[in-house]
Amino acid sequence: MTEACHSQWQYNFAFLDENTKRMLRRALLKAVAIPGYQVPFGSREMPLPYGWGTGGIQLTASIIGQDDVLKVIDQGADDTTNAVNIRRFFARVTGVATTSSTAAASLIQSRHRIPETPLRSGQIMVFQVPEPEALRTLEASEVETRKLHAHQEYGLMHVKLYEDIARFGHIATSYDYPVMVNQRYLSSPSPIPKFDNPKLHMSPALLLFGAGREKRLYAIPPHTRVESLAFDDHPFSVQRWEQACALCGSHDSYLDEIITDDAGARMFVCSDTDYCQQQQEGKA
Amino acid sequence: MLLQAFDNMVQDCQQVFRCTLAAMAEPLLPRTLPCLPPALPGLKPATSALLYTLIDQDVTLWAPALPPATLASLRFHCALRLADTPEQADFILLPAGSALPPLSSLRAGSPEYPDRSATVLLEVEDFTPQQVEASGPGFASPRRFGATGLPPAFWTQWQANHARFPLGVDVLLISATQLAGLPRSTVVQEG
Ligand SMILES: [Zn+2]
Repeated sequence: MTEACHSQWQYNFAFLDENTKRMLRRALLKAVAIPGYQVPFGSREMPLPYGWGTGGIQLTASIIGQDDVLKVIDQGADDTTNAVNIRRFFARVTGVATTSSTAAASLIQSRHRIPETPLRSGQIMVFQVPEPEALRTLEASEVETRKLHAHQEYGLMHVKLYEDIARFGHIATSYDYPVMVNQRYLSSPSPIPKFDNPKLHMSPALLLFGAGREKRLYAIPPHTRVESLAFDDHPFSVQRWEQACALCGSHDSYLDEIITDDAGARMFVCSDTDYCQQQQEGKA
Repeated sequence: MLLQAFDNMVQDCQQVFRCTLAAMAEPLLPRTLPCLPPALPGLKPATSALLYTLIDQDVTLWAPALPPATLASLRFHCALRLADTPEQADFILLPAGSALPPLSSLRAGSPEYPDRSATVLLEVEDFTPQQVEASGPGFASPRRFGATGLPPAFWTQWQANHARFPLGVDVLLISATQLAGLPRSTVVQEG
């Protein structure tokens, strides 16, 4: 980019200053070296309130380059307010190309889903994380959770899941279902449905997680073992639906139940809007 | 005399970082850096690129004696802060042929904060596929790897470093124009 071109931006490329990017980049390299471990980082103010994905935005801003093609999803959809705002923000502060196609994207920022279209080598996914500490509901103190991770003392989490089984006959946790990364760190996969957990295991893509309020980031490198917690007598299982998607007919995707009229009529459709459209076009 | 850094610091550092991130995510897979600055005296061009990308006033670097022009340029472009000893440093820069400080003597992080650990920038002559078989996170299947110009007994030291996981140091192996990541998670078998 020439100087003349550069001056068209009212701010630095990708909004963040270079010192902040370097700090985040160094933290990302450590996160990749210690899969599933939460690296603290110093946070800079972002032009969005917490809850709008500031952690994910900071990670994306520290890694994005002019050659990237960016996709942003919220609950699987590219066209929700949150996804549209983040995509517009990056288009404005970087000039990069954006897409709704999972296959065409080099960088995917996501809130609460992993696309149905399998990720490929070279792609990077950035997850927006509201609570990075998988043990937080069980232990409020950061000092204590750090110790539990240090000693790989994860019995509390097993007890919690087993209490679910005792109460409900099955593990009731259906999203943000805890995983063991590289057989070492218990980690939060962010509030994705447990349906998406198997996609974390040996993914060919690099998976990065950013929590803005908590100022933490962590990573699952490509081809890394990721196991959802389970018990011998209660193996891990994912959500299934009796219906197919009402729009594309897929039996393999995560479905949302939507109300279609004032009378309360319901139907099930793919949460991943790009995938659903591809399936519909494939059948046309 | 100050030496020129990248033509466009913002874009070129981003490109070099993405290459470094990919190198750490898929270890021991040599990658050619997408852009190189003019080499700093005493260092390979790829090493100069990594220093401009990773070093600033928030971290310390230890290196054996570097040429004055190199130090002056790094102070100017990166606000370089030198550590007194390798044991204290965030980054340890080892130009080709330097003695390797014992990896076990470098900052390895603490059990609660294993990220507070050193990164070693280690220059080698070239990459060859003939010394070790490696596996771990980032390996779809085991990969053969080798590098000429590694310090003696490097792989033995590496095995001890990996055995301390999640503590330990991470290494970036650097040739003239290429880079291979070696995070502490990588398991290496010699032969
Ligand atoms: Zn569908």
